[in-house]
Amino acid sequence: MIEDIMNMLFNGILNGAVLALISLGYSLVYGVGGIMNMAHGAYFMLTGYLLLWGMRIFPGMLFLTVIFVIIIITIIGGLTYILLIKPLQDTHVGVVLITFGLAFLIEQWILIVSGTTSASINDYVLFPGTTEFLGYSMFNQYIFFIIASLVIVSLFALFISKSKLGKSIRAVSQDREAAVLMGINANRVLLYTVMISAFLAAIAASLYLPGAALTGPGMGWTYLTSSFAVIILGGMGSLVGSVVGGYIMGFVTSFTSIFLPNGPSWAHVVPLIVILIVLIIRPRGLFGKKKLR
Amino acid sequence: MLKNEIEEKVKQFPTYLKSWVKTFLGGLTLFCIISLIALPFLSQNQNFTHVFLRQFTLAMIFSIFAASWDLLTGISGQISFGHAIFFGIAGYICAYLISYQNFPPWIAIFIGAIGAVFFGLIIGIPCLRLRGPYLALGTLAFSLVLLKLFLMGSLSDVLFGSEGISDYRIQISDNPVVEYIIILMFMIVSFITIIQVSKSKFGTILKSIRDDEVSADASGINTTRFKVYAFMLSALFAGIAGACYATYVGAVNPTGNFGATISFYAILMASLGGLTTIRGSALGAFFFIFLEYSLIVAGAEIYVNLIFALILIVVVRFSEHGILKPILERIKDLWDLLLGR
Repeated sequence: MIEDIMNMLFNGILNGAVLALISLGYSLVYGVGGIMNMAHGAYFMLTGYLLLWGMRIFPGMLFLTVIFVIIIITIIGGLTYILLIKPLQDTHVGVVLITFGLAFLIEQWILIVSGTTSASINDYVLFPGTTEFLGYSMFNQYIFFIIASLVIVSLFALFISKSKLGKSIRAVSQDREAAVLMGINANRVLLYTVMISAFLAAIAASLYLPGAALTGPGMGWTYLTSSFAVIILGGMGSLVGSVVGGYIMGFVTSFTSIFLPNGPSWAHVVPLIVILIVLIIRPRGLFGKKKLR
Repeated sequence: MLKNEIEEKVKQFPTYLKSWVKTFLGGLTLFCIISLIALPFLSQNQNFTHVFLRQFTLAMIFSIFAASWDLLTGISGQISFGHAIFFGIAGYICAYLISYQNFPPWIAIFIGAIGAVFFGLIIGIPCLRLRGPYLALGTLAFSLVLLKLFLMGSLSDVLFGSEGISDYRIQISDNPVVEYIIILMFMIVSFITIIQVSKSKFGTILKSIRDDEVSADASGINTTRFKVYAFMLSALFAGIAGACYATYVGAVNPTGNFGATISFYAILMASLGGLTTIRGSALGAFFFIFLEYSLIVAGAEIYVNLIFALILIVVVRFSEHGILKPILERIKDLWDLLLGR
């Protein structure tokens, strides 16, 4: 029983850290540019596979590969904005369709290269070994990930509130036209925003996925919908909301999968139920100020 | 009053038809319909009827599906990425009724479509609090969750698990020609209905909601109600297509009928042909099915979805109106040249 509770708490924090990092970027991009990037889950999934392939090509250079993969994903995020999103910014349908197409393209490409079978990248953990705490053993990698995620979230909050780029990001998100009149290059700010969001997803994936498994190229969609549920719960475009919502969702998911009968399969349904409840009771989410756009 | 109006319309119908056929679009549509009707009688060759004609049947099923997506997204502006929900639900209901309850396929298809309408109502109500891209993600989430529920091992007694239902009786007819004709009738009726709906007052209301929801609301339109109607109507046609697809394949399974790929196909076909042009989705569907068929024949089956994703990106990026309008304009120029106008 105690083991179950510890298991639930640890997994809850872990899931929460992953979801918080993913949905932070996702929410940021929506809040600043009104852009719905459907390829966001694909970045997460692609990171895992690039890590797998990268380690096969350069065995023994784990740190370098991880950093390299994160840089690649960030560049892919930037290219997505420049090549696909920017020309279509005025039509919402166009942006959604084209990023959906991109996500599908990445999924199919990986399907062709590596097949549907799930791969394990357990060997590529940065910090091997386990630590015992109250009779419960935890992966060192995951402990590092949880701490790193907390640090990244706090650094991100500092960056948004103090730095010059962070201030211009906030300015564009509040009133794009006024920001442009004040001499802020809104397109460049949006480019940086999309790159930051890809960067956050890549960090989450490269620290979380070794230890978990790559369950096939379709897993990007699962993370996309979970982070969607998180930002509905936390409030659209609210950064605090997406972090808090991420942890709540993480705990709810791990509670379901450990304590309910047939839990692990029901845990997939949790995001939908959360979306439904939030939409019916409080459509603007926990921390949302604006109405739905 | 209403009776007189209807009588008048019926009286005027032949003259209306004549003038419609003389227009460019009408003539082209009639030409396409006649050639589709004549097609199965061209050859009695086994290879022709059982392989080539079946591809046409598949293309027609998917053009109904794509048109239903276009009705929801192109006409009423509600982006749906989970159209496979309606497609799959109708297919499952239809297959279940035929295989376990011994219903005739006709009735099963209609009950399946009505089941899809019911789902459209259920999904429409919570999702309509979402707008634009969020609705897209909400519907995508719904379809993924349904896929997972149907794949779930612990529910396999109720929802048939990952194996699905397969039965030799799940088909409209043994004869591919009869199947072709029936599906063709379904397609013609669906397209006429969807095009007439988009031209009617109801369609105008939907378009006004798409263009400016606040103004539509201010001019006294109950936008929520009309959005739910649009969802249900779209679900009806998607359901017909899904039930027909179940009878076409003769089996249903979660990934084949609920997968994100199915929703993606509808999006691809409709945006290939051009959003809001209902006819475009037929063009997109035929193009799509035959490209897929030729890729399979060429042995490049694994690249099918990759190529289609590339096509979607290129079409959406470079041509806002799809490929139907440019093609039609070219043909019309040629037509005018031939007639010496």
